[in-house]
Amino acid sequence: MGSVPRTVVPPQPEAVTEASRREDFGPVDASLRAPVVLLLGWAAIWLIVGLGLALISAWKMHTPSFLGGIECLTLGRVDMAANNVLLYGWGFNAALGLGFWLLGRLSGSAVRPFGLGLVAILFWNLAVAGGLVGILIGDATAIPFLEMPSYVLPVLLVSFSVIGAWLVATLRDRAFKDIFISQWYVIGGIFWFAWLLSVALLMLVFFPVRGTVQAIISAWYSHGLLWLWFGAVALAAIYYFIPKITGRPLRHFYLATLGFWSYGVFNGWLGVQHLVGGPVPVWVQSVGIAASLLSLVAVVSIGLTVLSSLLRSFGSSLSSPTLRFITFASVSFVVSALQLVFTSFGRGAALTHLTYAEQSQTYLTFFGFFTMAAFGAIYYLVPRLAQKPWSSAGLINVHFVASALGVVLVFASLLLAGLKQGAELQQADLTFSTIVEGTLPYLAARAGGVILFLIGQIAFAVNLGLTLTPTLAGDRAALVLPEPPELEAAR
Amino acid sequence: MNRISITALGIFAVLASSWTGIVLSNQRSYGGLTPFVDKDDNKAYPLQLPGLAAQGKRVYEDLGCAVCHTQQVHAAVTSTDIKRGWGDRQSVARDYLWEDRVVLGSLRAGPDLRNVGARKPEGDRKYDDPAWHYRHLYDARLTSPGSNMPPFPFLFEQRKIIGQASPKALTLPAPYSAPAGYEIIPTARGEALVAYLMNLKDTFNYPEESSKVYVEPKKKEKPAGAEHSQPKEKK
Repeated sequence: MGSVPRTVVPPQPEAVTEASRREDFGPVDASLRAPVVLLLGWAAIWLIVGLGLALISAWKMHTPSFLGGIECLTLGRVDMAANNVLLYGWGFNAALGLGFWLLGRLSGSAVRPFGLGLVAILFWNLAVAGGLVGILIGDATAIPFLEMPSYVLPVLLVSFSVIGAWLVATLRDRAFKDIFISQWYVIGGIFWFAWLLSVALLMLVFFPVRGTVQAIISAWYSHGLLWLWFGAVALAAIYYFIPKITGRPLRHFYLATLGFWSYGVFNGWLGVQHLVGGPVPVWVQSVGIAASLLSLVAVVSIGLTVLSSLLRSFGSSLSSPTLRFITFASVSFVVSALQLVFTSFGRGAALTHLTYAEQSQTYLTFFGFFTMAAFGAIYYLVPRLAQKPWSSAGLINVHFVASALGVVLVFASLLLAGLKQGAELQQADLTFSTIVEGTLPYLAARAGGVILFLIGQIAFAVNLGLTLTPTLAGDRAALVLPEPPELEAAR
Repeated sequence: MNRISITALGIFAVLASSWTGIVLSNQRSYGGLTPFVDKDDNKAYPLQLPGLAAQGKRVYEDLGCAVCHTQQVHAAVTSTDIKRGWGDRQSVARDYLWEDRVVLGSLRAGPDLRNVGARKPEGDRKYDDPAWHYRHLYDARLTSPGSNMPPFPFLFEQRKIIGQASPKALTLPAPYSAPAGYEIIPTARGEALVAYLMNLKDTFNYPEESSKVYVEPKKKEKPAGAEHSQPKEKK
């Protein structure tokens, strides 16, 4: 590597197959095994638990008598519990697992073993479990996306800081001088989330600020959580895996720097557009709208790079499970970001504000964009950690088809329900009951989508369990490492 | 090494900008908002919630009511909130001054509740009557056919009538009614929640905000607000 400063344009992840490099990665992968397997195991458990709760919540939305008399399973509590388990249980474990993989591999040197870090992972998950129970027994904070009771939240912050420091330390030991764009995103995400959570804990939970300043901070936190943490890790994976699997460098890569900085800056200022028309200063609402328009810079520069690179290798993206998920995630990123822009002002905002349509956008960001990108990454890294191919290629296909259809069905039904609801709320002569009844068929369709998605995740969890278990139990030395192409089952 | 530090500095600056611009600036500009003291009745508005209603707010939060209900009335120019009877005026920042937890909500699966305590009855829907709210919470289908609001039977208990029947007992139609000799009465949590709902009313018009926000022109300023607000009656 030359001495040209790479801050301006970061280098791309290598666009070569790793067959020739396998011996280099051996120690790296071995060092990643403990944290990543631990994180992914927890992630899969929480994914199933969270979706089970989400299904109960979705079912109650159109059939309120379902489990109606049980206090700890009342709609509000189950809904809060599902969101928190999916965000902090599935989302964080998966994102941190990806973070380890990306930073470890891109730094080119083994991650130092760190017992305290493994303990922090355990504590994080105990806190999520405590949060789940706490919400169900009635200790929720009622702060959107941070509903877990105040007694588990500090544990989350401390655990995250320890795990985050462990991750960031990989930069210090790196063998490659260059910092790749994916590393920027992961490091940025860790730093941004630690800041967001600290501010939310201080200014919302423990020393709540006065009045609707809380609503502004809450909006800032929720948007940051989704885009500056989950979104950043998802983009890191997208930037890493496209050249890795297609074997060709990304197109328009000169836009990556612009994409990164505009993504970070404008997403930091976003969130408050959700408060349009609410009891907060009008200038804040305008700032949110302005930031959403400016975020088009990020959408275009990232979207152009990613989508044009994917389009060029569309054939191979269908045959690789990783690329299939990554392609879905990239398209979801663009759709979700554009939906955010066009529903933040004017007619778009009036139609969608405070309706199910706003939820559809959040849903697409977390499930269509982040979750699908995480699956793509998991399909690549698990065989390399387990040193054997996925147990079942059939289950991978079930997982992809069910997940993709599930996400599309949930997104479309929420969006249509919201648009109908928004249009009808504008007609003052329509009673509210009529509007509610009009949304019920869509909510039933949404529950169908959740079932479909859950079926896919069960296939995934079974496959993951089957693939990882023997490695953990048996002696690894006996396993013969197959050639890389076979590592991806369907390729 | 230099490259890392520049990138790290940039990453820091990214969130520092929005933290300053969104969080800090708002906290500095109106985080110290004070109540308005009305010289006429010598009270500071917004009024604090009475004790039982304040407990009810906790019930509202822990049951996750905010998942489906907003507490923010929007202006008549941009929404039909006021025409729907959800409030006489748009909600303003000062209304939320005393709330340790502001639950604006983000989804209107159900109607806005910011002003439900002052909402005028519409036909059978007697929003001004606690008994209506009890029936509505017991099972929303009793009062609003076709509603998808969950039932909250756990906010009530069925108990044997000993001596005189309780005045709090719910009057429920056939499939719901308690067996002979029994009655269904709200629990302490149920009573607190209804007390909270009945106290949700932003009927006071702040002179400062009235000049800034859109208020229905024909309404008279003070008397209109005072008419529906309980505090006028000497307790």
